[in-house]
Amino acid sequence: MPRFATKYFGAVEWPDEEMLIFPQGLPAFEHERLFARLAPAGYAPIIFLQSASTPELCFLAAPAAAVDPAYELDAQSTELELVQGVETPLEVLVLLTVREGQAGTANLLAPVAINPSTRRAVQAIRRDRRYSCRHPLAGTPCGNRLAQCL
Amino acid sequence: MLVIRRRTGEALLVSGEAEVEVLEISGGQVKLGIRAPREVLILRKEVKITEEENIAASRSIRVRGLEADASNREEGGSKKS
Repeated sequence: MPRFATKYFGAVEWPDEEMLIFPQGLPAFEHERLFARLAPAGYAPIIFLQSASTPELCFLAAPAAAVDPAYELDAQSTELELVQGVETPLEVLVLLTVREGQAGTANLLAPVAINPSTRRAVQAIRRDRRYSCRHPLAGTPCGNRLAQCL
Repeated sequence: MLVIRRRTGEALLVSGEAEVEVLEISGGQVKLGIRAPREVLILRKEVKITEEENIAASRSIRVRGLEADASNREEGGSKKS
């Protein structure tokens, strides 16, 4: 089982068959193709997306529904072609950003779509203008949990 | 902001080097063709916004109860900023 260093959890062993595969990486991180999705008890709904190749790279994320229960992907995001193919509903996460001295925000403009059958994942940038890349988390279950973590 | 009206088939030049041509207009969408030197980076604006937000999201933060590895934290601060 591959073992790799992580930002927050020391060295972890993580089975290959549970790794998320980003065929294109993520914008600004195009070379980061493999991520482990760490969801330690006590931090839900927060999920840690830890790069398998860069120990210091670990995104905080959450299920989109924990931020906005009505959230849906934009079917026009061309990137979604990369993860479709099997008739499974895509799982949707959003990346969280914490800026120094500010409450957290979620990137609802560019959600991470995951095909649970293939584990392929992509950041699917919306074509519509419905959501912000800095959606305030204050007042959401996710925001409250995040505030307790910081 | 400079505002210019163009019809299908018309173009404009940026710095005399990059040419932007209106290829098609339909249903609230404009199809543009861009001719530019190889070194000119052309990016959809939302991709650039996503890059910037991803970089901000990747910056080190302290999470209560989790100790970011000290050596990792130093590297993370310099490499990704």
